[in-house]
Amino acid sequence: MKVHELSVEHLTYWYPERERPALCGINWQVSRGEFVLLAGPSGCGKSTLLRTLNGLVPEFYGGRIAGRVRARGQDLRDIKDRRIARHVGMVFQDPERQLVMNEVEREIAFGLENLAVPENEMRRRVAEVMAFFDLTPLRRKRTADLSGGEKQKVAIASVMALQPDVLLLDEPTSQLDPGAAQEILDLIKRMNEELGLTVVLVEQRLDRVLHLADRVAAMADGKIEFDGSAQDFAHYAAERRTELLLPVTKLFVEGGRPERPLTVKDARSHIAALYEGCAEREERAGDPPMSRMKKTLQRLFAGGGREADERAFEAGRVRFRYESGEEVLKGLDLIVPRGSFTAILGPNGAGKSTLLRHFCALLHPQEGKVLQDGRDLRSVDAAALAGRVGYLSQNPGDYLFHETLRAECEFSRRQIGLSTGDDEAERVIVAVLETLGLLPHLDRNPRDLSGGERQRAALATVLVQEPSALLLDEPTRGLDSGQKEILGNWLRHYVEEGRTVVLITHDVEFAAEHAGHLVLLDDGQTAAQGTPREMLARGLFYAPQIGRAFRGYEDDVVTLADGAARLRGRSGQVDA
Amino acid sequence: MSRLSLPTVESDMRHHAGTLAFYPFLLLLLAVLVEHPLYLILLLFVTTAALILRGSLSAFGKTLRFGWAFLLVFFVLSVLINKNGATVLYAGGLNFPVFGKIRLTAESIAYQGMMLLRLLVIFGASTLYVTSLSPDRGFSLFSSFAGRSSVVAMLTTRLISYLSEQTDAVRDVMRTRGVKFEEGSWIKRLQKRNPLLNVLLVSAMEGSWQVAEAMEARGYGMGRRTAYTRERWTGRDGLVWLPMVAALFLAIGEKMSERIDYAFYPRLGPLWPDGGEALAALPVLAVLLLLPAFLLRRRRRNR
Repeated sequence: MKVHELSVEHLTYWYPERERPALCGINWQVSRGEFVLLAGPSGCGKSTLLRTLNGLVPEFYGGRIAGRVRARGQDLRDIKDRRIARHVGMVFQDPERQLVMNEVEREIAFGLENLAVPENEMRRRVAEVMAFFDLTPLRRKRTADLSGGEKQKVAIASVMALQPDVLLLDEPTSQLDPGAAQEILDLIKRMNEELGLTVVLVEQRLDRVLHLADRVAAMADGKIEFDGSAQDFAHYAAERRTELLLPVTKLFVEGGRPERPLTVKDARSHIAALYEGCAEREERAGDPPMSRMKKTLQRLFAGGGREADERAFEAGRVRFRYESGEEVLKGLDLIVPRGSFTAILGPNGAGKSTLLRHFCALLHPQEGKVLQDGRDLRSVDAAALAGRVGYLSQNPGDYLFHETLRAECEFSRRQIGLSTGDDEAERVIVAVLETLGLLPHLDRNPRDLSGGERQRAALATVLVQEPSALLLDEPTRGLDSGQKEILGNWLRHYVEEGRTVVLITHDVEFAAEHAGHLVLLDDGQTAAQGTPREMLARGLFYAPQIGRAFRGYEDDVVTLADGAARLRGRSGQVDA
Repeated sequence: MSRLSLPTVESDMRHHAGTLAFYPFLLLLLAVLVEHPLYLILLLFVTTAALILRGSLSAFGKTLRFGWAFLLVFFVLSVLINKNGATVLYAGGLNFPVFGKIRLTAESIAYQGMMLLRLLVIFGASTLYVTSLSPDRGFSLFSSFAGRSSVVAMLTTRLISYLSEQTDAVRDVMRTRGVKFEEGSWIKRLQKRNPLLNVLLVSAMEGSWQVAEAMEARGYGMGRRTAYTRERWTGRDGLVWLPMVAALFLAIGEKMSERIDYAFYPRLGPLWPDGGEALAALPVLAVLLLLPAFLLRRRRRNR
C-alpha cells in the first residue's frame, strides 16, 4: 500500500462552541514531493484543513475532531509534544505576527532551540539556510527593520531550518507587494524542485501560483469539491466556480471560447492562432504619431484647465519628510477631480500612503499645499474632516472595538454630531450595511467576522458618516476575487452618485476593471497619470494579464469586458 | 511617542553577554548595598561615566524624562510620611489625613535624598543593561536556566514597540473618524482615550494568539531546549571581570565592617569619620568600577 506524505480520512472538525463543522467528511492525500494548491473562497475551510495537517487543529484551537490525519502513515494523535514540527513546517499569512526574536539569525535558530538541536548542528543549519535564502547580509539586522518580503523570507527560512519534509503555507503573499510576493513564490517553487519538499499552499491570488502547482484542490463549505490538475481545475472553475477563474481563463470563458488557458503565455498562443487565422490582421499596435501627440497635449492640459470647484483634492509641489529623516514626497503635484474613481499605483516607498494621509489631514506638507474641495488643509485637523472625507487604513481591525457592528456605526455618527437611535440613523445604517452585504451581522461582534467582512465592516463605520470622498489604503489586500468584485462594483456605484474615491492598490487587475483614472507614483512624485487604457495598455509591470495576453494584437485592451468583446468579434470573423 | 533605542548586535559583540550583563548588575547591587552618600555619589558618577562611554546618555535622559515625576512624588511622600530624626526643620499643628501632623527633619530629608541617589543609580544601571545587551542576547544568556521567563521577557520587549506603533495607528484612525483628543476637560480627554485602549487590548490579544500559534508550529513547548549562542569568552572579558570581582569583594568587605553604611538617625553622622580612614576604600572602588566602564566603552568603527 502506498504511504502518502499526508493523508486525511473521514475528517470532520468543529471549532469550539460551533454547531456547524468547519471541515466535513474529508478524504484527501498529498504525495511526497508534490506541490499542491488549496483554493476556494474565504471561509471555505482551507486554513483549517491546513492546520489539521500539522496538528495545530485541534491541539491549539480546541474543538471536536473526527477521522484521522496521518503523516507518512503515522496518526498525528500518536505524535506527542509537537514533535510533528520536525516533519511538517508551517508559514502563516502575516509576517509581523510570526516572528518571535529580534534578530534575523536568532529568529532562524528559534525553532532549532525548541527541537533541542545540538549547538554545532544548529550553527551549520543556520548558516546553510541563510545562504540558501540569501539572508546572510541581514543576519545581524533587527527583524523589525526588515521589509514585509524580507520578514516573510525569514519566517520561511526559520521553518526550513528545521528541515521539514512538508511545508504548509497559509496565504504567505497576501500582505506583500507584487514584487516581494513573486520572490517568495519563486523561492517556494525552488525548494519544491531542488529539495524535494512537499508543498501545500493556500492562496487567494490564483493567477500567481496556479502554473506552479502539480495539483489543485478546491474547497467549498468545508468539503473538497475538486481535486485534479491545474488544467482540469480551469474547466471545473469555468463550469461551477467562476469566482475562482484566473483573469486569462475568465477572458476566454466570457469571450465564448472553448480554450482554458492558465498563463498569459497560453492565452497569447490561443490569441495568436485566432488572429493569424484571419486573412488580414488589423494594425492596432499603436496610435499614429499625430493622435499620440494630441492625447499627450490633452493630458497635459486636462489638469491645468480644470476649474477649482471641480477638484476634490489637489496637491501642489508637496514635500514631506518623516522624523527619521527620509524624504517621501518630493514636490508632488496631483489633481483628483470630484466624482472620479482614482487608483494610485506605485512601488513600496513611492509615497502612496503618505499622500493619502495628507488628503485626510493626518499629515501636513512641509512645503507646498494640499487642498480638499478648494480648502487649504495646512491648519485643519483630521477630526475636522470626518464626515466629509472618509479614510480607511490598511488594518480594518483598528476600526472595530465595540460589542456589535451597530454600536460601531453609531459611534462613528456620534463623533461628528449625527443622530443615533432615531429613524434617520437607522435608515442610514441599515442602507449602508445592506449595500455592503453586512445587514445579517448587524448585532454580531465585528471582530468575529471573516477577513473580507471585517474590511467591509470597517468601511461601513466610515460610510455611515456619509462622506463625499473616500480614501482607501489597499482595500483589496487579502480579499478573494469574489469579494474584490463586490467591493469594486460597490465603489463604482458610489462614484456614480457624484462622490469621489481615491484608493491605493497593488492589484493592477482591480485598478483596470474599476478605476476611471490611474496615477503612478514614483520616488515621491507623480510619474504618470491617465485613464486605465492610457496607463496600462503598454505597461510592462503595470499591465493587467488581459492586456499582456493581447499585446501586439490589440494594444488598447485592458479590461475583461474589452478583451471578451474582441475575442467574440474575432471568433465571428474566423467563423465567417 | 519616543522609543528607547535598542543596541544593534554588531556593536557589542566584542564582549560576552555575561560580561555586558554583569556590569550593570554589579552597579545595581552596590547601589542596594551602599548607604553612605559619598559612596552613592561615586556610584552615580561611575554609572553616568559608563553611560557616556557606551553612548547611552541620551537613552538615560529619555528614561528620566518619563521617570522624574515618579522620583519627585516618591521623594515628597517619603519625606512627609517619615517623621524620624532629631533636627526638626518644621513642625505643623494641623492633622492631615494619611500624613498626620507634618514634621520635617533634616535627617529624613537626607535619608530620602540618599534613596533618590540610589534610585538614580538603579535607573542608570537598567538603562546601561538595556542599551548594552540586545534582547536576543539577553534571552540567550538567561534561557538556559530561566527558559519560559526569558521567552515572556522577549515577547514583552517586542510587545512594547508593537503597542507603541499600534497606538499611533489607532489614534490616527480615530481622528479620521472625528475623535478630537485634545478638546474638553481632562476627564473628557481621558474618556476619549478609552476606545483607544479597547482597540489596543483586542489587537494585542489577537496578535499574541498568532505569535503563540507560530511558536507552537515551530515546536515551542516540546520540553528541553538548547541555546543558540554566538557568545565567546575572550581575554577581554577576563580583563573586565577582574576589577568587577575585586570591586564586589571590596564592597562586601566594607559592608561587613559597616564602613559603607551611614547613620542617618537619630542625628546625621559625620560624612568623613575618623579623619577619613573609613573612606579609604572610596578611591579604590572608584578605580575598580571605572576600569570596566572604560574597557566596555563603545568603539567607533571606521567604515
